[in-house]
Amino acid sequence: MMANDVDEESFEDCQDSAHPWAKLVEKIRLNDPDGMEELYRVFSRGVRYYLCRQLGPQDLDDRVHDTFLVVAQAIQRGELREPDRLMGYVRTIVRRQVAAQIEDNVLSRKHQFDLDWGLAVRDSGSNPEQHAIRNENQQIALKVLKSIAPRDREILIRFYLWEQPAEQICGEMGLTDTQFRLLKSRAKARFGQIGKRKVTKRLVPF
Amino acid sequence: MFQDDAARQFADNRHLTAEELERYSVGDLVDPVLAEFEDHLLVCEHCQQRLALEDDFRQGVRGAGFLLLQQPQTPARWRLPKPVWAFGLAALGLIVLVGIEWSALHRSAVPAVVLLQTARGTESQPVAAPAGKPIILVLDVTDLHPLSKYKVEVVDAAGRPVFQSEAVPSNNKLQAPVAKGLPGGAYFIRVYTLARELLREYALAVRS
Repeated sequence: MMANDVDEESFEDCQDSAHPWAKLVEKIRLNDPDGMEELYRVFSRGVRYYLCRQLGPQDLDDRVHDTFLVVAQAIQRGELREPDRLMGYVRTIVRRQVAAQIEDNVLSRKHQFDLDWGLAVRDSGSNPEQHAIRNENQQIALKVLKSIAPRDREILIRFYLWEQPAEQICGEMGLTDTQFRLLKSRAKARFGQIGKRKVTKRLVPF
Repeated sequence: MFQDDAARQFADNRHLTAEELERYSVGDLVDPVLAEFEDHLLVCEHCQQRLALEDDFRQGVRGAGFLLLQQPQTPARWRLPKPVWAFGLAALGLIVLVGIEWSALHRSAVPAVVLLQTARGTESQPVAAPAGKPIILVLDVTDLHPLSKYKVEVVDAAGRPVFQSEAVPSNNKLQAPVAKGLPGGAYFIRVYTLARELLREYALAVRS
């Protein structure tokens, strides 16, 4: 489950999809529709994923659109001086969008609270379908946690729930760093195996 | 599995290692790796999928772990034990009950004797002991690798050690007196070798 497959691609290999950033940037600067299309094609999934992970699925399409608009306009104003840094530039814009949205959420929440509307906090999980999936996953995880060895369970709970640092867990449980990593990996793999099996059983009832 | 992690850990110029991915998922990754990875994440579908799985895993464990730790406060489901264990569990319950009642009747510092045995499955009730009273933990070490001495440690629900001792086995039992008793809550009693290799663990519910 946990992406334990070794991949042979490098950052550069992947990024390199060696996008000719300079050409792309030049197209956008010239307001060429092909440039915008290419920018969207290369980054839309990643931008969407990043925004969704940070802010949840609300208004996601609008946010993605806003992000590309900001990037394109900034490039057209000549704010991206080094085209090779396009990826970093897009990331910076996306991070600013996230920070601005969080600030906006905090302000509106504070405003609502001041008006005594109660804590109308936006739910990051959001729609009913996602809520149901999250609950269901949690129930599966609960069954899985109960079925693994107490020691593995404790490692997971300490690390993920109590957010204890690895050093503390190792010290208190008498583990070396290697043992800790090994135990955690095994527990994670076991979790993945059982979880997958349980899900498969439910999906295929007969 | 671990070998895979190690291979990624030492390979230069790859996708983020599993360890680094985990750190990113919990928000512990810092620059310059953070910036490099986030750039990479924008265009790498493979790492987006890996991160999504890591997030799901972390959130699943957090939610389930929280529910699990809440469970001692709610009536636990009770399954009819297998006949082989029924007698043992009944005897265990009787010993605990006698220990608690006897302790309650005698408000002096007479310790409650709590017998902890290995149990099959994960649904059985943890053994109970009274809060704030001296306790003698009697640990069944049958089937353990025979040693002349063991370490006994009691940790609370958060894993913080609250009691440590060394004990010599007698008739496959270890005795560990906890003179000051324990506050109410969930505990785990662990048996270690003197080199701190964990051998066995028991659950204990201390009730006020």
